[in-house]
Amino acid sequence: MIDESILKTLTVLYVEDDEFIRKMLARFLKRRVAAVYDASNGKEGLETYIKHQDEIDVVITDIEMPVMDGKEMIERIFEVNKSQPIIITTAYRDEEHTSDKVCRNVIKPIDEEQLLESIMYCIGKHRVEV
Amino acid sequence: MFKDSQDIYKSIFTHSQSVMWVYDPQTLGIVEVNDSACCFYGYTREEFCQKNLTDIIVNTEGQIRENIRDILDGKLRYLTHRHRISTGEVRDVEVYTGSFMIDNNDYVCCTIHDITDKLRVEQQNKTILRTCFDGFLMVNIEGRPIFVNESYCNMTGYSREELLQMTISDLEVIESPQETQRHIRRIIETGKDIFATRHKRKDGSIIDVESSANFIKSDNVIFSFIRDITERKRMEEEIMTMNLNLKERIKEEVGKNRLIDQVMYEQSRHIAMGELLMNISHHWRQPLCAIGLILQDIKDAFLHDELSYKYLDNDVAIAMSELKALSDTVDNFRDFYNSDRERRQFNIAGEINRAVALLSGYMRNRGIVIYKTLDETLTIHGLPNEFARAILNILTNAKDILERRNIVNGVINITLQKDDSIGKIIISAMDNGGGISDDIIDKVFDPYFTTKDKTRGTGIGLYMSKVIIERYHNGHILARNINNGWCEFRIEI
Repeated sequence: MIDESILKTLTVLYVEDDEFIRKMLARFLKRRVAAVYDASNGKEGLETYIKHQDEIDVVITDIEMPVMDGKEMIERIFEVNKSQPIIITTAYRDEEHTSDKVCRNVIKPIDEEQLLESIMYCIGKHRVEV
Repeated sequence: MFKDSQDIYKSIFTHSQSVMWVYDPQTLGIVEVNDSACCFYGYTREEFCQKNLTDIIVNTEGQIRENIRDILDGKLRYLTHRHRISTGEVRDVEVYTGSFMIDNNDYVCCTIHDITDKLRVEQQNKTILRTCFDGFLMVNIEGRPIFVNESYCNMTGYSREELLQMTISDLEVIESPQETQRHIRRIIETGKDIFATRHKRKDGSIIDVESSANFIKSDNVIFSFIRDITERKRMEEEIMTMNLNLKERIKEEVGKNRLIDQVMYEQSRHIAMGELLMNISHHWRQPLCAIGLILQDIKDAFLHDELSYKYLDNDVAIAMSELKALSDTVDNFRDFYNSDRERRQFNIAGEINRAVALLSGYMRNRGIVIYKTLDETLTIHGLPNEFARAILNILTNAKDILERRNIVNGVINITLQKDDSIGKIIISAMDNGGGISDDIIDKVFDPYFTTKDKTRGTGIGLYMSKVIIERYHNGHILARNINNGWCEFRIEI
């Protein structure tokens, strides 16, 4: 079971270039977490992260995006905080679109329950490590 | 007949066109000359009559007197001499002589023919025959050689003396003696013949010869130039054998190439199918994800007491719109990889748009922007599906380059227009992927040429584009670098 009270304390950064998907998933997340920041590409996502890094608990990001892709953004976020919990949401289950460095890889179409579990897993793992 | 015969004879002598003079065989002094003689020797009559035979004839006095004895005895009526004329020049002459007696004194009358030019021509002819590489054979109508040159002696290995003792039949290999006689008769009738035959050399070996024979009617002889064509025949046979082998080789290679073409076509079809699936999957991923989220959102809204009819209606409308996008993708690309059954007139912009649409999902994901400036009115006759594939291969190549080189803000610029100055349709696809290095720019259309990893490219795409454009649409395709890292693939049809 997912402890919704923990979710309610979390702030999530969601980076996705597809506007409709971003809107739908952000709506889903907003019903469950404390706050959601969203961004439409890696560059915006990195800027938002740097601005709100003290608040952000989990980063959820797509990989293929214009301007700056998810892979690069992830590297740059790790430069800022190498233990930042990050979840990749991608349509492709291959090396190019997934990463061992992040906490979880969630393959699209997104199962929202699975995503919530992933968030809880990453937070729990992170808290144990810290 | 004449009243005063002496005057008449004198007149005949004086005015004859033949060079004539009379000398005294005792004193060797010249006693009478005619006008033609004065003209020929370059003396006046008075000067000439002061001369002695030894002044004129280039010979010793002893030899001259010996000849005179024979002339007076009637044994010698014709001889050839060399005569010196007034300029000191020496001329070759034929001399016809006759002696007569007046008042008990002997006189000799000479008629002179200048044969200097005739001898020179004869000499030239002899030199030609002696120095020419071809053999020369003069035979009488019985086929017996009466003259041979050195080249023919060398060719056959016989000496001149030996050859003059032989007949043509002794040398001839192919024709029997009877056939040779018939051949000679035919040459006499027609005047000439050029033919190939074989002659036997003294050592028994055989040579191939080509003979050009001419019948000289005035002398009743046949002149025959004979060329040794043994080496030529050998080379002709070699070339013929080579040609035969070459034909076989060409047939073999053409067969191989046809097979390679078939294999390549199959390979390109497989690759194309793979690309089709990949491209369709790019078009499908996002709608599938969106529909998944909508379905989950309906449940989520219900759980959060937010699900009104309006909310549901809105989500269903969006889901239907996404489903329509999926359906359109299938419609758009269903025919794309089918081979055209027959040639037809088609709209070029339509096919370019089809190729761009197929890649658009992928391009969008990779942040590559495609700009199009297309003249929508232009049409050509050909195979539209093949044509669209040729364009797709070019765009895929550009996309791969942009991706592999990590070009930020990758752009592909496509233009389609008619260039009225050359009367051709120009399709240009330019990308800012950094261009093609000079050492490989000539090879990009070669089959199996690729700079990509083995897993990513087979080197067939651009080759197939070239084949489709050049073979099926009578066009021309080239690749070139433009400034600032731009590369252009240009099709002229």
